[in-house]
Amino acid sequence: MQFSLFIKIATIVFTTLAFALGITAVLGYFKFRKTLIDFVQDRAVVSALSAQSAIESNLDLGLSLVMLRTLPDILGRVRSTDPSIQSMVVFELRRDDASIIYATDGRAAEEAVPPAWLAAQAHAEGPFWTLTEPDTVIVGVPLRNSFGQNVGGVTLLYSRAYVDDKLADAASQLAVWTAALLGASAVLSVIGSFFIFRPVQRRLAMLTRSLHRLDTGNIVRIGTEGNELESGIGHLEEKVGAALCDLEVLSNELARTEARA
Amino acid sequence: MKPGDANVLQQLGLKRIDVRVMAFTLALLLTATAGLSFAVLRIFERELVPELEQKLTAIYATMRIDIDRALGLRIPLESFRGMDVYLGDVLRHHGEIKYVAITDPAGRILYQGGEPLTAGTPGAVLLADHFMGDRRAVEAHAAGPTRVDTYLDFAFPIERDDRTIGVVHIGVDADVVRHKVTEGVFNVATVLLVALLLAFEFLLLVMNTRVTGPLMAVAKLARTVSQGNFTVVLDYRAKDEVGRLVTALNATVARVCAIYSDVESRLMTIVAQRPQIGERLAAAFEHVSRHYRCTRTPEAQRGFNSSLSRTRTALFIFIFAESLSYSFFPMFVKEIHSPIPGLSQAAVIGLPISAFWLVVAITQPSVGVWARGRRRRSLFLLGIALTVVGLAFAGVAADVYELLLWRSITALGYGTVLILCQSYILDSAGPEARTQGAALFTSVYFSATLCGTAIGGVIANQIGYGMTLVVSAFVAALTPLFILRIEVAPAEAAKPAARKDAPGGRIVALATNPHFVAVTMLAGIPARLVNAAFLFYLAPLFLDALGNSKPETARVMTIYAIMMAFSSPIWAKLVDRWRNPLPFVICGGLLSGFGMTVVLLRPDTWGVVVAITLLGTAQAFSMTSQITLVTQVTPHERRQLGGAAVLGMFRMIERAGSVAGPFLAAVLVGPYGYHGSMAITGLIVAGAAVLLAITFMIVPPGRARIAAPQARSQRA
Repeated sequence: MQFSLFIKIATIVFTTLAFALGITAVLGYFKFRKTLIDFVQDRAVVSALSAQSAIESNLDLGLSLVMLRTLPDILGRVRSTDPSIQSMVVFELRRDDASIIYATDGRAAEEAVPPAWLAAQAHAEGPFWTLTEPDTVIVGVPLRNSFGQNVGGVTLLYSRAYVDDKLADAASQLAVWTAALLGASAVLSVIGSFFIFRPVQRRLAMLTRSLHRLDTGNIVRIGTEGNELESGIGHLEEKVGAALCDLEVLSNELARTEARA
Repeated sequence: MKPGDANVLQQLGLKRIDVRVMAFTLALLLTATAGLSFAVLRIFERELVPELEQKLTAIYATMRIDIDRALGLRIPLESFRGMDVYLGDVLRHHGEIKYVAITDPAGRILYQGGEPLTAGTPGAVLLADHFMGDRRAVEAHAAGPTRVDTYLDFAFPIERDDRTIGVVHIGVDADVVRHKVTEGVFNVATVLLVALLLAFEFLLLVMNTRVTGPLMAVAKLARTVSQGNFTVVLDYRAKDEVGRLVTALNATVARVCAIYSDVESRLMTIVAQRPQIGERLAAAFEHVSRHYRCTRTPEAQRGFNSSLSRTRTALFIFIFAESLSYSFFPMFVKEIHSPIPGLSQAAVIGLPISAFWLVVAITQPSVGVWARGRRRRSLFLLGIALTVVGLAFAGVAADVYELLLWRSITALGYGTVLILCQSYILDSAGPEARTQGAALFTSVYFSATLCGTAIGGVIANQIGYGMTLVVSAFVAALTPLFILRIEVAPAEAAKPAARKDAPGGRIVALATNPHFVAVTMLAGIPARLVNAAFLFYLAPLFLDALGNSKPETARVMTIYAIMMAFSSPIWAKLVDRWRNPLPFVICGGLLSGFGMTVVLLRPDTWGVVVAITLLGTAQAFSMTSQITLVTQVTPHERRQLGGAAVLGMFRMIERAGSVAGPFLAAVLVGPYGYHGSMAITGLIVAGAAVLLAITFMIVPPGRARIAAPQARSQRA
């Protein structure tokens, strides 16, 4: 199989483009991922803070969490504002443990709160905390009574499938675009390299043809002018021509002698 | 004549072909990445605007709970109190919201918050007009947001008892999604720059090994043949135009040789059979053979050496891999920091950096001696293997002790490969072009550092510090691809060791030269010290503490490599023309030293940018000048020990600065903070430059050169 110089150059150009496009696509994907997660998390935080505000205004009236009969209404109302909320849970902190007061997903009251939630709430540096589990994204906010005591928390559970689906969709769109651009780049790399190297290829092919003709005795001199390569080949042709001529004379004389013998 | 040289390209009829290929690559890169960036923007807008709307819907829903509560207390919508504070809270909690307004069903503004509405600008009038005419908002808000002026207006109706009693308008910057995309524009620019430099390196490799190298060999062979020498052909095979030209050329030479051999053998037969006739013909043949030297089988010679190009690419890949962690390494140490008794956290962070340079300092002269008479390729591969293992395990190190071990192993490999590459490039360049060889080494080193540092920050931002080190191990593992085909002879064979050939002997010999001592202690060591203290330790940590992202930190760090890569050759020429390197060394010390104090005046990112720029500029001319100055002040030592040994000792001793730098920074950073430490380090370097000037003023080099042999003869 014969390869042309321009194919080698086109391969380098294309590899460079593939590197740049690949990294740009990956960076674009990660940026999208971060922005999407930020938006979804912000939305969840808004909903959680809304529930927190409504519950704390009841706590300000001196009611304890277990006494709040409006919890289902508050959570139901907040949940209705965002269909991607899987469930909401309100829990109460006690002296030694914490238990669920109300959950929209059928978790039993008095069920123990997952320790990871309590740890995340205890170590939260801002007004909310987040946790990511294999299938769920959890956003939580603490609940404080009118004395500023931490009495419990509200958690929103989002399905990760929502985010994952969006990410998969964006990734496939990005992949299609990248593949299309790579395809176009491959074609352009070949065409561009071909046109850049065409004069060189022509000159090299001309020199090669000239040497082949020399081989077959059909000398077409390319001249001794021009660049170092061409003038070098030109001088070589002259010398080869002269050598072939001298050797032919000698060979003919030898042939005559051999014939006489 | 060296491959890649512009004159060579012109002589081969390939004038500006490299420029055309690079311009074409750049155009294609810009077009393709612009196309992809446009696609990313489209995807962002398509997917994220609905997400933004959902978020605003959630905010609206929160407001509705409060509004409904007030309406439930039978307070009319237009009579709410404290709405300025309430809307101000909404704006404060959600930075992307530019304004919030509540209007009556006719669009008259009841309450408003946010500068676009309250500043009385033309935009405010436009928005007010829009609210008045936005009947769509009253009917339903399903139609999506409306663009008004530079805002995207989301309208949510307030309904009560099945009728609309008002509308909540929430406005965001219309280009909020576009801004999210353009935040990454510097990262894309970084990728472009790195891709372009990579393309340049690989195109250079292909051009040198596949085009200019073989064509130079063809031109050389053509010259040889045109002088009548038909004894050599080229040992080069390729299935392209150059390969076909070489094959045709070889066939031509072989054909002449075949005819010549045929004539010669026939002549022998005739001479043997009919000596009288044969003698006349033999005289004719002798006349021909005086003009043409032929053999039955011409010797196949390579004709050109591609090893220098391959070494260049290997060095590029290797340095690129190692420098991927430059911009974040101190932060990585901080991340896995574990207390070491008796050492502060700052000192622990500096420990792996110092250990790395200490091992490099020990490795380089040792490998130089050990490599004599051994096969260089095996040493190359050993060095690369050590680096790969060191980088990979450093990335997954659990604590500082493990990190110290793996960084030391990395340094062992790094020092080995670096010294071998350096000596190979210098050997290939030959004694007459050593400076050019050194310049080639420097330019490759810094362009690779530039690429690695810049892209390292971008990668670390996505996959974390540790994984970036693992990636750098994978990249370093690609280096053997270019080493394997290098034509290597064993490094120069061992010579009988003279007394002064041992490092100890060399140190004693050089320690008696006050100017060598002054240049080493007051210029070489301070330059390395400021590099290690400022560039590898203080700057990354300070930039991180200032809140810069990892890619931003990397971009700032890259400035140093840019200054070194692009201005070093210019300064080198100027220093050579001036012939007096001392002022450059002194000015370099002063500039890099006082450059550090800029951060006292501006203790922010721009201050660091200026300091790094000044350091890069200063070292670009002072580091080159240091070598020339060392050469000038050690004429006797160079005659006795050899130039390479003197420079080797200078390089080894100056590494003490790299080892001490992080420790100095760690000691200073506690009491003086980042910017204070930078300024003090700078003042130490500037002070050293002043002392160097004073030393050379008190004892001019000429007097010392005369005094030195006298002293030695007295000792003898």
